[in-house]
Amino acid sequence: MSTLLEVNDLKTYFYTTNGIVPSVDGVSFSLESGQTTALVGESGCGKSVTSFSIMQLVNAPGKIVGGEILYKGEDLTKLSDREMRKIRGNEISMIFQEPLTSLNPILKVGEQLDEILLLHQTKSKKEAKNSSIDMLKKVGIPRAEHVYNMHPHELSGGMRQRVMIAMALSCNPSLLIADEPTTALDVTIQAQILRLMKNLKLEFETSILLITHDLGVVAELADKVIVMYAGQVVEEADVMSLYADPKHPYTQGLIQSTPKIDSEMDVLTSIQGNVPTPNNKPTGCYFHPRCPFAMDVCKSKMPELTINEKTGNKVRCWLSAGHQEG
Amino acid sequence: MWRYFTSRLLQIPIVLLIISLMIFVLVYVAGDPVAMMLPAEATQKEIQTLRIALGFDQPFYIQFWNYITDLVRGDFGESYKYGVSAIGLVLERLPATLELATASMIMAIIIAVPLGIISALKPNGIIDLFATGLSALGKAIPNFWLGIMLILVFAVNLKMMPVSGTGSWKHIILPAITLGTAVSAEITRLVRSNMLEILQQDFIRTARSKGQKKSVIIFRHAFRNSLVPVITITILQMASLVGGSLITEMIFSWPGLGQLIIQAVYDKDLPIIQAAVFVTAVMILLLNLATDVLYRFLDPRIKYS
Repeated sequence: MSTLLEVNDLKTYFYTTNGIVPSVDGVSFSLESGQTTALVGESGCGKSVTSFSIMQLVNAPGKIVGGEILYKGEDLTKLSDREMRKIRGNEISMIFQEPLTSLNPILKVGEQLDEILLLHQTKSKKEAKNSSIDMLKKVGIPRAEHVYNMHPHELSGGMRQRVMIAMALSCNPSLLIADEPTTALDVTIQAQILRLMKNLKLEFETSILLITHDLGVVAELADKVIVMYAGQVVEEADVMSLYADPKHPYTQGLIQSTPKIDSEMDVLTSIQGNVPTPNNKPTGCYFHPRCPFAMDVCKSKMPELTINEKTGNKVRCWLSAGHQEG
Repeated sequence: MWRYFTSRLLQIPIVLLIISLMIFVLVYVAGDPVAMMLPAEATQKEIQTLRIALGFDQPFYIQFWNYITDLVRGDFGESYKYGVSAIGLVLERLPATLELATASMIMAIIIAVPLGIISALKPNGIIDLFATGLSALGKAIPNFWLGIMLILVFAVNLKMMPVSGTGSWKHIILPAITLGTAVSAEITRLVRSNMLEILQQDFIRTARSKGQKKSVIIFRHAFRNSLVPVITITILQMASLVGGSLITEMIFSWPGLGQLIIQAVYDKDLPIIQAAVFVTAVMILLLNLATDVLYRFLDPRIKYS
């Protein structure tokens, strides 16, 4: 398995009037081709900013201030806008959380699908139209020729997300970034979209970076999971070991606060407190104010992300580093 | 949609009937024009004879009925002052007014749209601040002052433009700037605020994630989405200009409707007032209908039923 994308010590800061906000603070991970990697964490932990940084789509006042993003060995942070445009939509494409607002309301579905093909794949409008209709069929849209001529407002949320997926996959990208692709959809539609993504991943051999806070979705799709907290990676593991034996107290908390269909409980467990705002982080380990196992060392020193030589999994926690309350 | 427009077209005569009633009532309560029409030394008998001849001795409803039946035939009567068909006089002046209104709108749009877009792309940048100042100024400066200043600078001192009147394309420039400045200021602000809002939308991010060029994103994706409110205001402004622009026409001796109306009011020339107001009303109704048709083409989400 080869490495498709490698993010090294990525730092994306926002320069606001209230000071510098380090949304992504030294994140490193890698994606293997053909795999689905999930980026998990609560709202505000830097997942989406990480994905926008990969696409070089961070809006002002945000800025990538450090680190590198190696895609097939090439550092995306060093590319010109023109070079980056050739990669966006063609090599790396993206689907978003809100299918309702992510399509242009005044352009026909077909025009929006053709646009990406005309940018990267073909000069002929007729060819683009045929491929677009093909793609619509592939994502399971009935009467694709008809939908091609419709406007987004005439479609349901699930259908619009299918259109987004068709658009994202139409140039056969090597990497698909899916930012909370099912969050805005009904549960039944969620299941359909997940199944669709699973099948398309096999058909197109696309790697997926899945950004979500929904551990159910992770279990369904992901091969590898990266857990983020307050702009940092706190745990990285294959999906099996993450669910069977979560190492970081934050991951344990996330898993415990997921409702399970086969056990009865009166109150859903939750992690106390909130993610610290990026410009107001605690000293030491960022998670210690919410951690049930916090020790003295956690309050003063930030643990390193350390690799377990046997499993290859990584965790950023003093407990796993062998520290004991003394 | 066609049913909607058919019904809208059918509404026009009804609206016009109501408008003509209002015009008629206003003129009726303004008083008997006969005394004005005759020389001061006319006898009571002469006045009475003319009143009977013109039908002013008849009760209100009969006068209104006569007025409406003439109107349906397109006859607004003869101007008391010039003795020729009132509607003829009005239609003779209409092209000049429309010409000036169109020129002002074109000028306003040519300035406002690029300025608004550039301001939105770099909010609080140098161009934005400049545009904001210019808009505030443009909206605040009164027409009569701006017109006179333009004449003073460009016609009297620099001798680049004619002072007033019509004849060449140069004649329209100063009055068009005078009229268009305030409109331009308003449209600039509107384009700016709409573009600012739309550039933040999710679908703009989608377009960027496709690898689309910035210029295409700005025009194809953002600007087209901001057009509905811009068109609304533009046409409303146009509607306020088709009735003739009194002050500007006076300053530049522009032979439009505005001058004709004000003169007719001084002379109590009722047929001209009635015809001019009526024609203006028709123009505004047509502009409103045009707006609705344009909406449908600009935004497919707007449905008429």
